[in-house]
Amino acid sequence: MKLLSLRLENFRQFENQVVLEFAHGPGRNVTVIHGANGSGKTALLNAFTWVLYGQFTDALENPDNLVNRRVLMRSPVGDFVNCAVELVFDHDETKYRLRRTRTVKRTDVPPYWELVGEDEHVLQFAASGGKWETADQADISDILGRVIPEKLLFYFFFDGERIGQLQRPDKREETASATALLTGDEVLALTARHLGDVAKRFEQHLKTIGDAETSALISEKQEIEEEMGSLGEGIQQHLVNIRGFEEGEKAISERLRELAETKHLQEERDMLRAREQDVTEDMRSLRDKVVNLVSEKGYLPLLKPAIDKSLGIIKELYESGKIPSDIKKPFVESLLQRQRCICDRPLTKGEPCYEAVEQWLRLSGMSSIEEKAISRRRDLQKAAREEQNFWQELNDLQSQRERRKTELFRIEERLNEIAETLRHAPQENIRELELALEQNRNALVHEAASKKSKQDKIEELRAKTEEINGEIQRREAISLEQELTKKRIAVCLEAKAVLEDVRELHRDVYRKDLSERINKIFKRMLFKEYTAVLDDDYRLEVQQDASAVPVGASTGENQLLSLAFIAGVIEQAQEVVSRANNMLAPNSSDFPLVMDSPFGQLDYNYRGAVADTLPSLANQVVFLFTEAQSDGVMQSLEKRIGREYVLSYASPKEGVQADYISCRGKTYELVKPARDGHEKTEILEVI
Amino acid sequence: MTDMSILDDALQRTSPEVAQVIRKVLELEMWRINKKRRRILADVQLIVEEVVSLDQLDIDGEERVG
Repeated sequence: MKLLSLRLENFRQFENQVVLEFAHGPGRNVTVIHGANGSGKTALLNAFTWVLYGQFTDALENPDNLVNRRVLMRSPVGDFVNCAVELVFDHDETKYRLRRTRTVKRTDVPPYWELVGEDEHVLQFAASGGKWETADQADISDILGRVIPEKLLFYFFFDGERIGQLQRPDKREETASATALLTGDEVLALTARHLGDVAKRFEQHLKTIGDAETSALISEKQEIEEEMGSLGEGIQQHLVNIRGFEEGEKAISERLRELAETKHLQEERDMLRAREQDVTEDMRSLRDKVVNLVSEKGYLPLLKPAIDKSLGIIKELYESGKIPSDIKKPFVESLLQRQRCICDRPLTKGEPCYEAVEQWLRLSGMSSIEEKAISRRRDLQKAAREEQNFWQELNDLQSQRERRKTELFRIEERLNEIAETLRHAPQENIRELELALEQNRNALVHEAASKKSKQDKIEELRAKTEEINGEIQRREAISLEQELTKKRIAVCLEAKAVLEDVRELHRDVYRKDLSERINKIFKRMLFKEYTAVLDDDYRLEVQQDASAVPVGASTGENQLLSLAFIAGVIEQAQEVVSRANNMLAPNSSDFPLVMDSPFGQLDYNYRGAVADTLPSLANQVVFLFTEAQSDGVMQSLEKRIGREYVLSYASPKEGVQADYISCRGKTYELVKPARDGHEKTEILEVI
Repeated sequence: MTDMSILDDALQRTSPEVAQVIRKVLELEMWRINKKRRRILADVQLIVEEVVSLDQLDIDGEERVG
């Protein structure tokens, strides 16, 4: 999506018609809009979200009051008054014109208007011959969904001061789902789910056409699936609770980190918890290695007696002189055939000489045994060495596990000591915090255990349904239709299983990739030794580089983290979409960013870094900010600005002071007193 | 990142008809996400019925080769 222009008609502070055009060139892709507080920056941001999906950001006050107040109050009671927003954009080489209009009727009681019908939403696209063609009403949301999916709206049009909310725990599911939409995960998930649902349809059909036993099996499976469904819902609830308790723990720990009396203990506890996690992970990995070793080479100790016995036999053959044999069988055979010995004596059958040479033939037969014995002995010795190595390796792994166990025990001991100290601290607030932390942790452990038990039950039931699936497939079909239906069920279930495996791999690859991108962008903007991590659960966290301990990031740092997240999502989506064989993701890699107060909470130093970074990542950026917010960024943006505007605001507030802004050597009126008591904003282009 | 290769690998390891069903339903789902169409289950069912059809089965219920 490439934004071209935005027309506002009697929308909020903007009286009559005003038009903004946006920069979109490859080098100059930034549009800057300066405005004082209350001048309509947030209204402009919401003009985009309203025209696209009829939505508003949380920052917009009284979102129902869209019609310009001055126009409304000047209209006679009973008249109809319109407000509208029209957005012109390019997408996938087609130009679109999208317009949303609201009509209200002027009344004589506050708020002096009432809604007349639904908003009118019209989408036109440039057809051949340069004429606008109007899309069917039913197709508007389809087309817009292709341009910018509704789920992603607030990632591309956002209020910078509230951007930290993207990281709120209750938004995490939304975040995961939105990013998944751009990488194709959602398509995989939907495909797998729908194939499962269609398998159920076929099963229902089979139930009606099959024999009594097959029907009974299907009924049993349906009951199990119902139980699995309710267990799944229970797990979702546990997950929500777990996240809540984790956030609670984080907040209490943060508080303890802030208090001078507990700072060092809490920091030590953070380190210990991080180490505890690492050690537990190591122990898990060592246990897996033991399991693998035993399953791959565990047979060797059982072979040991046979190895020893075989080596003993070979040894005996050597000791008895039966091997090695220096005489080769073909040589002795040729002597007997020629009937002449090596010493030139004649060899006549029945004579003692012949018998003596024939005796050598029996001995020479041992040479093949010798060859076998040599090779067998080599194999046996190798197996014996492997058996020794197996024990050595097993002992090493076990002693590593023991060392970890001891370390874990010490960590837990020290954690208990810290908890004990804080529990008996002289300060009441510290005791209370520690008690709350303990209760929180107990609740967390309880929730995790309940979730695990439900997951185990689901696994058990899943195995049972697979067993039933097998039984249904094994039953002999009584008709061709039954056979066909069974085959269709099998194909659906197999396809579903394949897609679930693909999805798991796919999701992991993309999440890791996104995490790396976010961290790279985050580090480019932040001057501290912090790392941004997007974990398995799509939780964004700031950690210290060296220790990987989570850091209680400041509001500004969290804002940077969210900006890095959005930039990472855009960068990843651009790469996915640009692939020639892309089958899973949307079809355009152009994503604009419209940001109201993007540098709101950021320190002066960071503003420049953000201003440098974002325009190089998004195809098009629109910044809306106050003069104070633009401090420190205009120099970084200078080379990229293609369009610049000033919102000139007539304020109805009493005693308001005029304010001015200087842009490119000219002075523009930023704020002025309103003459008739109604606010009004004009848009002035900086030339 | 190799999203398509993950999928391609999986499709190569499975049977041709399962791979065909997956490809067709994925295309349908992608189109549907863009178009927001309803009737998805009926459409998926049609795809499976088309791929796994009667002409693939012999009269005695055996699957045909190829």
